[in-house]
Formats: sequence, C-alpha cells, structure tokens
Amino acid sequence: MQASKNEDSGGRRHLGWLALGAGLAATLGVARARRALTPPDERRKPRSAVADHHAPEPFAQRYREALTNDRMRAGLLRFQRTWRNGRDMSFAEYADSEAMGETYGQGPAPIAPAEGTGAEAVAAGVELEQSGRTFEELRDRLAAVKDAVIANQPTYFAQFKAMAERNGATVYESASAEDASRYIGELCARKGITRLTKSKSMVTEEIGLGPYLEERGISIVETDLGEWLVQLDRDRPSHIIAPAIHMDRYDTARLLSPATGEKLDPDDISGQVAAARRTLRQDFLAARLGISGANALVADTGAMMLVTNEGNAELVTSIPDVHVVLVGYEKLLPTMADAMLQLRLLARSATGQAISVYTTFVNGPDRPGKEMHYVFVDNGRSAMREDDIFADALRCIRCGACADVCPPYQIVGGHAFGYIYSGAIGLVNTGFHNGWENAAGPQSLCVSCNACATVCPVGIPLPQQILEVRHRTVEEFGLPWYKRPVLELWSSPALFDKAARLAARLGQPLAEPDGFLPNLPGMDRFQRWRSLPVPAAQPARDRLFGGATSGVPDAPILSPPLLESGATGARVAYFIQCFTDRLFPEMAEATVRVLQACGAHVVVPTSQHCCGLPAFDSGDWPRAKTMAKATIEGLEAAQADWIVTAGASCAVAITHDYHQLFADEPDWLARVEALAERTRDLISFLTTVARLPDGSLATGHGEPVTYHNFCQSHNVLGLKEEPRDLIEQVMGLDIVELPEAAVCCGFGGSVSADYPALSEQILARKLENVDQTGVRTLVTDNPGCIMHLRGGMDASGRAVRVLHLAELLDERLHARFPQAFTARRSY
Amino acid sequence: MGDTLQRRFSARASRLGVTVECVASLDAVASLAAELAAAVAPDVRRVVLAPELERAYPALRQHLEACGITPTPIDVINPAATFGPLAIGISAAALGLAETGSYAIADGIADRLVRMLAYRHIVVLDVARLVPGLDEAGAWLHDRLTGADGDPAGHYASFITGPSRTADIEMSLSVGAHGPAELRIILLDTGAMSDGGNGETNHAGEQE
Repeated sequence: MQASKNEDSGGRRHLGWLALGAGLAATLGVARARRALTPPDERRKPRSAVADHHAPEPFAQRYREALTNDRMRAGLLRFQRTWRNGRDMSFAEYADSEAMGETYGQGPAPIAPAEGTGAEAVAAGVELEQSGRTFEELRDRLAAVKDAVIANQPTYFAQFKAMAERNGATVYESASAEDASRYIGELCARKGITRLTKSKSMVTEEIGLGPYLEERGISIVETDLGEWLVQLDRDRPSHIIAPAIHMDRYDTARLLSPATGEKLDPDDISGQVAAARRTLRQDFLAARLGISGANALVADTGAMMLVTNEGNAELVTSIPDVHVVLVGYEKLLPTMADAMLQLRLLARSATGQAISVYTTFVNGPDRPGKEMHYVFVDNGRSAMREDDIFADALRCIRCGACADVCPPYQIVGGHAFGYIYSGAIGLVNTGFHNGWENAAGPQSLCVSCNACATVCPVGIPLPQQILEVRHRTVEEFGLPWYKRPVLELWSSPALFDKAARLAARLGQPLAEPDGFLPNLPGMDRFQRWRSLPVPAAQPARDRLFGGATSGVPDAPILSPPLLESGATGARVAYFIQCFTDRLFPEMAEATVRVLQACGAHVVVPTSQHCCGLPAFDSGDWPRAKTMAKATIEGLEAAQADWIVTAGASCAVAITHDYHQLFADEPDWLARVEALAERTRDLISFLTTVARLPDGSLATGHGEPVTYHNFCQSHNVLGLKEEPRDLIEQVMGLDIVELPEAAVCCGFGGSVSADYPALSEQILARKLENVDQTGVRTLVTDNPGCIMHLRGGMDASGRAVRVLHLAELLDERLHARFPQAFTARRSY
Repeated sequence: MGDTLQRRFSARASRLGVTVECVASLDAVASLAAELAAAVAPDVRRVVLAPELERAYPALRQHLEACGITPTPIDVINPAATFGPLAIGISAAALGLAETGSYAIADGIADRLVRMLAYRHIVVLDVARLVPGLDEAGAWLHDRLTGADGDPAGHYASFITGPSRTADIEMSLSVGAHGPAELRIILLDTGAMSDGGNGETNHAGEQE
C-alpha cells in the first residue's frame, strides 16, 4: 500500500506541492525536524553552578544514538511491562491486606522533638490519621510529611545534625558541588586512601564525584552491579534504580569478562553475577573508606536509612573504617514512623517488592576507630525549595516509577530522556542541579501523557512541572526556529483559516482514494509510517454556522431528541476543536447529532478558534494566553449551561491547563474557574449530565470494539470505566480489552512533528497491542489520537477503522432510530 | 494471633525463596545446621556463629559440637580467612515481620560479617519475637537506636528480606549477589510441642 504511494505521483501533482507543503506545515504543525535547539544564550549565567567533569554528549547526539539501539528498546518494553504488573500487584496486595484481617500497629507513639527547635510544632502539624493502605492514601500521607520537611527544612536539619553528632558522626554542609567533592578528596588524602568502595548514590553522579577523585589519583569501585557495569563502560546510569537497564547480557558479559578475569558466557547471567561477586568481594574486604547515599535521614534519631537488594551497601558501610554519606537535604524525615511509611511506598514503586532485601539503618560509628561523615549537598536544592512551582519535586524518593511508565523513555532510554537523573523527575530537576541548558533537550521529548503523575508515590505534579520547564526553556533560549512561524499563524484566527482553506483546496485534488495525502518530497520521515489526512473541503464551521459571521447561532438540527436524558432542554455550547473542524468535520456533525439526540439545545460560538493548547504545550505561553483569552471570551458569550467538546485535550486545557497558564492573573483565573465548572468533554457530559439509561442505544447486534484510553482523559480527567460503560451498557456492544489501553499512542501534541522517529515507535507499540485484540474497530475520544492512529493504520496496511466515541454513538443512533434519519433534515 | 503471625511470616518469607522451619529446641537448630554442613566437604567446611547469637543462645555451641561441628572463630581483621566461598553463618534475629517476611537485627560488625559474608545463612528467630509489621518494627528500631529500651543505643540495624539478589542484568533474578544466596529462618518455639516443622520450601519465589 505504501509502495504504491511512492510510485504513483502524477505530473499534475507536482504543481501544488510547494504551496501545499507550506499550507500543511501551517495547518498541521508539521515542519522539518530541527537539528538542535536554539543554542543557549552564553551571556546568561547558569542558575546552578556545577563543574561538569564528564559532561554527557550533546542531547541531539544522545537522542540519535538511542534511536538506533533496537535491543535496548525491546529490553525497556519488557522492563516496563514487568514493572507495571509487579507494581500494581504489590500495591493491590497491601491495600487488600486489611480486609484479609491483617492488623498492624499504629506505629510508635509520636516522639516530642527537641524543645525550642520549632520542630515540635511541625510534628503536630503533620500528624495524620495512620490508616488507609491504598496507594493513594499512602502517597498522600508521605507527600504531607515531605511537604512539612520541605517547609521547615532548617529545623529538621538542625535536629538531625544534633542527633547525628551526638551519635558520633561528623556533619558537613558543603558550599557547592565542588566543595563536597573537595571534602571527600581531602579526607582520602589525609587517610592515605587511594581506592574506595561505593554503593549506589545518584548525588555522586550529580556532582561528578567519580571523575573528581580519579583526577586526584583516587579510584572508586562501584559495588552495585548495575553501577559497576556502567562504570566499566565509562558511561552513566540510564535509570535511577536500574542503572544498566539499557544493556543486555551480551553487553554485560563483554564488560565483566575483562573486569573479573573470567571468560563469561552471555547466556549464563547467574554465572556473570557470581563472577562479579567473587571480584567485588576482594574490594569490599580491602576498602578503607566507603561512600554511600541515603534513602532517608531520620531527624529524631540521627540515623540514616539505605535500601539495596544486593546487600552491597551493608558491606560498604560496615567494613571500612570510614563511612561517608553524600546526601541532599530533601532526604530528611521527622521520625522513624515516617521512614516506615516511605518503605511501604518505595520498593513497591521501584520494583514491585513489598520491601527491598536489605534495609539498613546506620546511627553513627558502630565501633572505636570508625568514622562517619555526612556531606550535605545543596546544588540547586535551595533554589528549588524557594520556587513555588518546583518545591514539590523535592518530595522525590528516587524510585524511578516515572520512567517506568513513560512511553518516550521506553523508546530512547534514560541517556536521552534525562541528563544525570532520568525519567520525568530528571526533566524537572536537571535545570536546578545541572543547568537549564542541559534540561532543554530532554524536556522536549515529553508527550504530556501524564502517566508519571499517576504512579508517583509522593504525588509530585510532574507533568505541570515539565511544562513549566518547557516554558522557562522557551523564555530563556527561544522557540525552535520552525515553531515560531507555525505558532504565529496558528494564533491568528484569520490567517489560520486562510491557510487551512488553501491547504484544503490544494490537497483535495491530490487525495488518494483512501482519503490520505500522497507522499510528499522531503516529508518521508513524517509520512512513511503515518499517512497524513487531507483537510476537508468543507470544514465543520461551514457546516455548523456557514452563514453566520458573528454571534452564537443555533447549530443546524441534525437529530431530533430521541433519548431519555438528563440534558433535555440544556443549552450546550459546542466547541469544535481544530483538527475536528478542518480534518474531520463528520466527527463534529456526529457530536452535534448525539447532543441533540440527548435533547440538548446546541449552539455554536462563531468566534471559536483554537483553545491555545499547541502554544501552551510548546512553552509559548504569551501566545497561549492570547488564544485562551479569546476562547474564554467566546465561550462566556454563549451564555450556555454547558460547554461541551469532543476534543478531550481541549477539555483538559480549559479545565486544567488554563489554571496553570493564568496562575499569575487572578482576574482571568476567576473566569477560568467559572468556565471550567461548566466545561465537559463529551464522555463526562454523557455520563454525568445526560446519564443515558442502559440499553438506550442498544440494538441487539453490532461488532465488538476495542477502546484506547486517550492518556489525558485517563490520567487527568480520570475517565477509566466511563467510556466502557457507554459502549457496553448504553450501546450494548462488547469490548475486547486493549492491552496497555491507557498508554500514549505517540501523537503527543507537537512531539510527533518534533521527533517523528520517536512517535513512530510509540505508535508501533500501540498498533501491536491493537493487533492482539483481533477486532476491526478501535474507539477513542481525542481527535489528535484519531489522526495519528488512522494514519498509522493506513500506512501499515491494517484494516482497522478508528472512530471517535461520538461517531460510534452516532452509528448506534442511526441503527437504533433508522426512521429518524431516513430523509435528510426532514424534521 | 501468634499462630496467624507465624503463618503469615512463613508464607511471605517462603515466597522470597527463604526456607522457614519451626523447631522446638536448640538441639534441633544444631541438627539442621549439621545437615546443611554435611553437604560441604570437611576441608572447606566453615560454620561461623554470630556473637549476638551466642549471647542469646549460649547453649547452642554445645549442641553443635555434639553434632560434630566446631564453629570457626571470626577474624574481624582478616575476614577472608574466616569465610571461605562456602561458609555457613548462623545468627540470631531480634524481630520477625509478618507483613514482609523480614527479620530485623541490630548488631555489631562481627555479626554483620557472619550474615553478609557466608554463602549460606541460618537465622534463629524466637517465635515470641514475631510482630505484625513495619509499624512495630519502626517503634522497636527507634527505641533500639536511641537506647529508649534500656540497653545501650545501637548504631547499626537492618531489616533483611530474603536472600541477597540482583536483577541488574536483563531483569533476570540472581540470588547471592553479595550476601547469602541461601537463607534459612528457623523459628524457635520452645513453648510448643514440635510438630516436626512447619517448614515450607520455595526457592522459586520471585518478587512480592
């Protein structure tokens, strides 16, 4: 199918290509991929000052290299699926344990913190009801504890320091990342130590401790197997808790054979582990100084907590006579009970274990002659703590869950999707720890699917923070060059309308019989794997208010009220959505028919254009605000009971994103809140307002369908069972469940234009999952997904039709009430 | 209650590949250790006892000697000499956590060497020391590390849940990464008639 497109390009088509390409670029936001982000402005001082001893390669190179690694991608897919099962099962088991009669104590009685430190008041504030075992309840409790620590960090630090010193440890607050390295280097020099052991610590990676010490003749032996592998490869961890997840057994055998002096069989993984054990055992026993991180610092005892599965941290912290703990202030916790709460969330989120194999608590030197040094590192943490938007990110307990659910992470791994820290948290904290110029590339890979927010065990608003990072990146370094003209055009209703109509006029004659564009020169990387639709000759706006040029006219009557509905008589302003308007006008008509069948009085504000999401999502907030304000004014003027859109991402924009966009404009924020109250995506409207009775669109027959949960509908709006209820209960159709139904399809707003190869791979995962269902109809609720999925089905030659739920409802409406639609507009 | 805790503890630990046995006397503990040691050739056989274990169960050494086992003394300065590649370490636990199948211990360097460097590890846990879960363990830990329980404040404590393991290569689970590859927990129930062992063996258990 695809080959025929390449061959078939008649002479007449050449004429329109140039102009069509320009029109398309404008209309679809498709442009040539950029080679690199606008270079950072050298005149500005970076907000964090890390001496980067072994700076990773430039982002564009990391991204390119990652894409060529097919084995890594396959491994990460297996990893994500295994993790998901294990994680979900372990939380479910714990949540159910109470019902199974397992009662636990209420934890230790709260211990009064040292008087006069102020911590006693704080402790009172964070006292929460110690009950509830669901993930959400545990998460909310730990988030509250962490917030109290973030808000009162100096107090908890002072308490911890006093206790740790009383226990015999030394506490050093480093002035900078370099100063922390210097402290450790001098300690080694003083003791004559040239070789030391280390257990996993992301902070050492963050400050570049390894290269610093190596330059001074001190070698570090990484003792976590994954960290050791990465060290042997002269590379960096690609995952917070699984550092070598990007490698396979051939890579590891290649690295471990020379390191252990044994010839290792790639297929004998246990043999590789055993060889590593034998070799590292000698290092454990010989080491005179051990470095570790900490998973928590318990203020009221002065103890540190450390978790591992291998047990390497026990050996690193026990055998040498000097133990150095390199740690950030955000690891402080008030009490041991809080540490227990963290344990219940940490291993389940990290690996699906109820608890790690080794949970170690060190409370000062355990024998005469032993020294213990805490080296505290700030490195941008204060700036984060003082930043209203980013302070929450300090709650992070480094479980890696945000990478484990991330679709782009699965494709490119943590070297591209991150900097030192990977996953969503890496996109957020890189700017603070390692400079904003290094955050610019990785953040641009985020598809805004919000999956990370659903599994974060401390409830960090990662998607909002990533958008803010993008916003600051654009403010500091500017938009990618090709996005400026696209957004400029998109933000002007008149220009956009002209461009869209031009694209339709040029595109229509070129359309393939299947309705898609033929392959265009230079567009191969965008079209080869996903056919692009031809803009409709008559956009939805012409069909719904063609004659009107202003005001809020009634929609043409496309359906009589046919259904028993809670929406009967309601005045509903219909918001079309750009893609629906220009590419899929039949989807708009189907939506209006469904709303009218529910008895709604549908009106269509003629001023409507784009909600501003593409600009918001691109980090261009000034343009997003202009577009959002026009949208708000237009929708307010409709004076409707409800604003309904079948563009679920627009509903998310209006009900959620606008709050972030207008956070600094109280007047507009008030209007946003009032508008959001009345704004519904189609599914929510049908299930909470219309509340169609079961069976009201059932006809007793109909093919089974499968359902793709648009990621934001699922993760932001919480629509999980609702669309299924509409299909199964209201329409009486069978659903064959789609594996990974709520995982992003790869459209990701402009990400599919910025990174077509990434988008192609995420789409492939989705299409393979659809294949497994064996059904011929895929239903979803977001026009962006639909454009992407239809294009993917066509380009890959799959005979699966992709419908908006509104279209499926409309089909059932016609099947259930054929007489109502026999004569066109006869009612 | 006690019985439920024991059942739950055994089930959780077994799933992680821990062998859990219940015995009624120190004599039986010694017999189990001897059984395990018999599989190792006499010239490389090492059975090492943790000091905390000897403090808690001073009579155990005699029972072991009666079974023909002479414990190897610990050389803290040169531990490699104490622990060959196939040593059997025996230590005592302070608590057992039914919630997770973990045992908890606050110990010194010599005890830690025993429980970390031996390839096989036997833990003796008094059934009276079983607690429901992490809340109780956290309370115990707080008191132990601050000395609020009346003993000198501890400096090092661990919760240990199954044998040492890693999944860093292709998520493939291997046991014995650095610590013991084999973990046996012997529940000592001196107050009950021995029923010949409530042991469940499951080496296939992966993660929770």
